[in-house]
Amino acid sequence: MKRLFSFSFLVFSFLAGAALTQDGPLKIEITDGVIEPLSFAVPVFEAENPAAREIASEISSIVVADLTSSGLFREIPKNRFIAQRKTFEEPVRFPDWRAVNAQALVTAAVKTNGSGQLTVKFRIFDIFSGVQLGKGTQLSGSTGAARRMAHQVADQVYKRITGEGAYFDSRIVFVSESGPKDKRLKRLAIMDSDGEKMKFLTGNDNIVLAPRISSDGKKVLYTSWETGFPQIYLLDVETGRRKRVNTPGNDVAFSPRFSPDNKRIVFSYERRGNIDIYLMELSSLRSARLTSSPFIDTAPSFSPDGRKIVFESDRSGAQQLYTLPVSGGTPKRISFGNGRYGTPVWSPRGDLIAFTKQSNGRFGIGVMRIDGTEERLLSASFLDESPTWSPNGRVIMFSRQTRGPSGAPSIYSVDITGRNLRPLNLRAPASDPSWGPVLP
Amino acid sequence: MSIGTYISVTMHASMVGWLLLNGNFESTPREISVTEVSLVSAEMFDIALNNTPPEVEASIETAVAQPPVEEIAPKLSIKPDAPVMDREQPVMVSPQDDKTPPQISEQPEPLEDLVVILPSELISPTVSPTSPDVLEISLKPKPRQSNRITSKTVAPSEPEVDIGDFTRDAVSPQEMLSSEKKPQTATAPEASTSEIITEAEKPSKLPRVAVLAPEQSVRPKRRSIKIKLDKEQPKQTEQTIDPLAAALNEALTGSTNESESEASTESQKTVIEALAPGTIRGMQLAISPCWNLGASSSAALSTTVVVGMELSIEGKPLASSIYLVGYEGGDDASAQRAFETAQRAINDCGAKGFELPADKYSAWKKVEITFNPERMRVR
Amino acid sequence: MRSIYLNVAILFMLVACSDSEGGFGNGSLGADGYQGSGFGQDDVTSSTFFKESIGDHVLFKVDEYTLNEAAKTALNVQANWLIDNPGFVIIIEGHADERGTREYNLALGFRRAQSVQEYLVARGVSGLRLKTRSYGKERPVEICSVERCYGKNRRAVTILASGSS
Repeated sequence: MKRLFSFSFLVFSFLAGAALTQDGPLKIEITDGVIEPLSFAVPVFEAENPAAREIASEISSIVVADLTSSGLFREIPKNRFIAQRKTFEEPVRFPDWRAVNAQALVTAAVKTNGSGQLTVKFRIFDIFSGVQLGKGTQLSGSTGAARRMAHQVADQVYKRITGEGAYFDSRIVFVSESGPKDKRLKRLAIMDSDGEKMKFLTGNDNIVLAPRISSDGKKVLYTSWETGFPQIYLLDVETGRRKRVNTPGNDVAFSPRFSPDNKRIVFSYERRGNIDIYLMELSSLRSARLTSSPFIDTAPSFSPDGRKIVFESDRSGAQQLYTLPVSGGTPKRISFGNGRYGTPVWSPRGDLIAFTKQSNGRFGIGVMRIDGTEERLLSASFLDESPTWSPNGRVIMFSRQTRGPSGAPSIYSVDITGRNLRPLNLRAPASDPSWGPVLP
Repeated sequence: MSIGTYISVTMHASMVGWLLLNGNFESTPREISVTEVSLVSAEMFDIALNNTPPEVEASIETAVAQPPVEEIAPKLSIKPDAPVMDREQPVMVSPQDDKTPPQISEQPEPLEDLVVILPSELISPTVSPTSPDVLEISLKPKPRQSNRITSKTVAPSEPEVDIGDFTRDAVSPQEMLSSEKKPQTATAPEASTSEIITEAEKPSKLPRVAVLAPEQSVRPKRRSIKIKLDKEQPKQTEQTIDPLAAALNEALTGSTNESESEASTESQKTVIEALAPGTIRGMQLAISPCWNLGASSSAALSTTVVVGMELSIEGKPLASSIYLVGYEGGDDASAQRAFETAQRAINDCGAKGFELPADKYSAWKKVEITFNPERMRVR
Repeated sequence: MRSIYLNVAILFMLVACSDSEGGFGNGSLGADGYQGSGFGQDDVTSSTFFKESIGDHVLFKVDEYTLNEAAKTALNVQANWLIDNPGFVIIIEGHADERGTREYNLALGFRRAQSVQEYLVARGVSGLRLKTRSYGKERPVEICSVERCYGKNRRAVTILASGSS
């Protein structure tokens, strides 16, 4: 009996061991998926008081438009909804949203009071997992800030689901153009990231070019022919006041850019046909020469850490891109493809450089790693140029000009994956966009 | 066959025989909770059917891995007479109180009580010997499994269906052997891209990843995950499983013939290995269409996540059991986003249950899926 | 004596006309939009005359700022006139066609203007009278989008401004 017992015990433990091994999880690897915009539903925002109805509707439209414009989201049309939500607080009927294939749901309520105060609260839900994402959030401000609050709601939804940084609540400085092609009138302007609320910053008496907004969104550097010769100007967005940046000998300068801390600028300085890149401290106006070659060095751009610049130079015979430490050194060429490379812009993430590439008679916007590898073209047309990065480094805006006597520029954007190339619907020709930061 | 294997076989056989005689293998009456249908709205019934978990607390955003979830819903629901009776209608908790940013706590009430007991919770995690069919299973990977692109079209909702699908062909050992080879080689190229392990491993080879998950804190660790596992595994598993299966086979068919048990051992070997690649491929094909990276950040597209979960006997993922085992590349934030994308894929394509053989439930009750977006990144 | 000199100059220009590049321009405007009124035959010292008879611009090849033979020939004529008419301040204005990025074309315009300036100085025009500027691709003279127009836009214009040197 004892023998049987111990025998069984041995067997049992062996068996138990075998059973254990069978309980190890099944392992599977998934390497293939799909790339589609994430479907989302935005039911009518509840208006907590009747007067808020219109503003609630407006905010809701902006949220939908922002998310859709990113190319990463796709709206489920309201007429497909099964659940009809009347209030913000009512529970979410997940199966109803699942049934219309909404992967995400945004509910919101809007309230105004008599003294121009506006409150927006919203929640985000993951339908397939049947949970709320994060906490509900409430924004408040004045009714005048309704568009901004809408952009902020869109930013929160976008951030929470994708993991990218925000970018909808931002503004873009650009050049608004009018008149015939040989006598263009140009003036600086600023608008919201969706093209709304456009406001002029200068008159159109002088040609203005290639504005660059500071990292705090408060100032703009640009080139203007106000004196009859290209010079650098600094403009205050709030007041519209501008002043010329005096360069050494008051000689011609153009193509100015801010450093990330806005304390210094880099620009191209022309002297006797020599065009080199200079660095200048704005407070003291002291400048240092960064390149000295008999060739054209222009269109510089700071790295986000402020330590390097990337610029274009034709020193190799045709326009190519070079990086250079601001502290000095030898420019290092990073572009090697077949064609000419110009207007380099360093991504705010620091990992990529966007540029304009010309080859075979076509222009396109591209990106490459900061060492020049993994070059990819994101657009191509008769004339695409002047890329600028969104604050989260995910989207690039640029100028596209059509050909011919009636050719006119407009602003386009494209996702960094190359998807979602789309125009910004503006009422007038526009060029040279410069994307400002997410507003504080 | 070595002397060790022989001893092992004998001991297993005697053990199982003893258990059988004692009646341990009879199915126990299952405790099923009864939901008062009349008091449950249509939406909630759907939720119960789809096994939607209750809304978890707001902290879901910060709680990356969800092993603690095991303490919440599923365990709670094991008490059959618990919340079901009390909460009959969706109840709003403190709906009027908050004037400040709304909290999530108002939401969960209506749904918490609906994670009813799943029969699978009560099944003991051993191979169910209820049907002899288990042991005589067609070796060919089911064409149905390999052709399935989306799980939506197939919905075996009862375990019985799965079992019944397997034919009871008496296949000769030789045939088994040769057909064993075929599935193996045929799927080898596939396996080269997706590292697959068969269901069981030797205890010493239990992947650290799986074991660590429940013990670690909820935060995902940035560490290199051993995704690639040695191909030797299948061979080694033969030694451990086969004796058991062989013993079962022997016990059930009453055969004690050594040569026959040897043949059965071989057949068990082939059964388990042949089953895995087709089944696994089916699950990959089922999940892929729902794994949507279209709204993923660039960082998340560089993050590989390993997601663990439990499946019910119907092959449905228990949403509350889905947790982040670990990740590679990216950072905590991108891992969390990648995890959510994976979670959506699992919940979406798994809603109707994956096609998995119920008789092998213990082999796939726990699953770990590695979501590797490398091929999906912009080239 | 002067008229003979002038006639010879005109003959030169007509010869140069056969070379499509770098040669005679039909009184094209500089970017400052100066409009001449009439041929100004009466006043060979006027800027109008300079613009319409002497020719005030030279053309360039794509992406280039070096002067070809036709350009040099034209500049020789310019130089002589400028030396003979020292009362003008001279602005050499460079331009580019639209097939380039904005700031690079601005720079290119400067290089072209510089080439002209250096040449004129070498031909005896006082450097003190000369300034350069560029409009890049902002002020084309021809607005079609084919080479026929592009060729005319790639130019350096010699603009006269009266005043002390």
